[in-house]
Amino acid sequence: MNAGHELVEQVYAAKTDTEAADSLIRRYMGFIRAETAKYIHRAPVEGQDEELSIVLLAFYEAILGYEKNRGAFLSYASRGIRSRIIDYYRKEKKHAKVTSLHEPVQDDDNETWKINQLENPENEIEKSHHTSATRDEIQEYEKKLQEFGISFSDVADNCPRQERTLQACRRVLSAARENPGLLDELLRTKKLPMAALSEISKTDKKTMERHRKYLVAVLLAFTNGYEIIRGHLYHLTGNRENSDT
Amino acid sequence: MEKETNYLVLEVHNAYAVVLDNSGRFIKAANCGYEVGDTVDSIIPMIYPQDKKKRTNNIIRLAASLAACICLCVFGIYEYQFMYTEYGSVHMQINPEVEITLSRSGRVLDIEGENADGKELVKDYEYKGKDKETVVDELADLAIEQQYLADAGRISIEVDARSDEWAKKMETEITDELNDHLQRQGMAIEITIGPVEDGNDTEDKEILKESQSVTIPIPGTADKTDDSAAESDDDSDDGVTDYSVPSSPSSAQSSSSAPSSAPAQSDSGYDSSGNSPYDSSGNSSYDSNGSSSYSDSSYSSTESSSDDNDDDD
Repeated sequence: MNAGHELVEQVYAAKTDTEAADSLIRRYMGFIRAETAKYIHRAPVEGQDEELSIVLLAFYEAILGYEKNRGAFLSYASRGIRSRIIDYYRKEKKHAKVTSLHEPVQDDDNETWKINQLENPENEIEKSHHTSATRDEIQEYEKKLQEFGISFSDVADNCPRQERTLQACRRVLSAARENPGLLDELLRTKKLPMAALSEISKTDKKTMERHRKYLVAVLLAFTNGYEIIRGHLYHLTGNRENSDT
Repeated sequence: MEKETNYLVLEVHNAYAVVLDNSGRFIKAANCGYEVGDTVDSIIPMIYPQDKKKRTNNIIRLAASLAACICLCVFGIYEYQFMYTEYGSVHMQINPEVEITLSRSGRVLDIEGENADGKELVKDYEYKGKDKETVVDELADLAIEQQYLADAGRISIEVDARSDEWAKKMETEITDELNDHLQRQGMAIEITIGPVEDGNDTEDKEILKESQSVTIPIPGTADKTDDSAAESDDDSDDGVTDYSVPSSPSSAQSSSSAPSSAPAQSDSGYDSSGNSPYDSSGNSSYDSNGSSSYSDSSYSSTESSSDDNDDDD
């Protein structure tokens, strides 16, 4: 009874604290693996079985969605996991003809995976350099965001999920890009120049306030540096930069 | 050509990864062995609990709005019929005759004058959007104003509708309203339900009187007529034309005395050989020549008349 009460407290703490969520998930990894094994009928392999990733995600969703009046947390999570897995298998049915890259194939008496036999069109070295540069830039970006007291998880939670709101945020971004002084002000004061941006972009201040963390993250990406991230955002920057890259 | 969307992995956790798509969306998705800096083509995005609720809410909202639309349509059609389609008409007779078309709710849809005075009365009258009570009150006022209606006058109301019950209800309501209204004005007007006996009716009566007056000369000879009528009933193949004459009170009076003399003469008072008791002066309008073609059948009439006498005895 006491353990159950403790778990509920941990779940409630994990709703807002990503660290607490990570540690709760680590602690319940056994439960998560057992749940996955129910569906794949064998022990799951981390990084290889997509089902395990889905069960992990479903467990995290259960943490966010759990309320005290919904019964015991673990049975609530179990139900969430079940429906997520059913969803996943339904979607997978559409791609039933696609074979796995990890499918074992016979190669000169040696058993290997299909992925190892495929010819890679990209230059591995170049690719690894690019990934490394991207990682550095992302770390730099993350540090900058932390100066504003924002993490990527916060930004993801604060990101507008409605197309109309996303459009409004894009208007704010274009207004800031047309007035670089506002981006400088953001870096200098560590505050979003709300009034000026709202006036130029004709966006409601309330909308901007609601998505403040997201706006800060996007505007920061368009300050100096972060070329790789900016290059990745070609839908946001339009065709002009797309043609440059 | 637009590039396909791909996702840049920004942050990885045990349960999820934060990825950035090309449109600037930061998304939490299942971490399928990703590392920071990877670019992936497809992800399994996380569904936020508030979005799940929203989806169910949306379904409920859609169902509710659909139900509301259907209700509105049904109710709207009913209400439209109730308010705007013709259901019955009120025939109002003061002297001007006016027909008021009503919807089921009692809303006035049209007013038409049925005679010259009626047309004159409603010529400039604005009835749109008014209910039946207002309209009949105002028409009565208008009739008083135009001197069609005076104290001790009469208004007749008759309602025609698909439903008799509704028509009766309307008649009562209109009559009550008119009574109240005219009493408030201190007028003693009689309100009647049903059609008024108009000039045509009296004419009919006069015609009826006239026809009765034509039969008046008959009473003196009516006893004969009765006999012949009785006889014709008894014997149908006697060659005597069945001739029925409307009876009159005077014929009943003389019926007992007549048979004693009549059989010897003739079977009928309508043919006469000059001795007819119906026309002693010989000026009878029923016979112009002295001989009768029915005289040979006199015996049968005698029989029948003696029968009659026996019966009487």
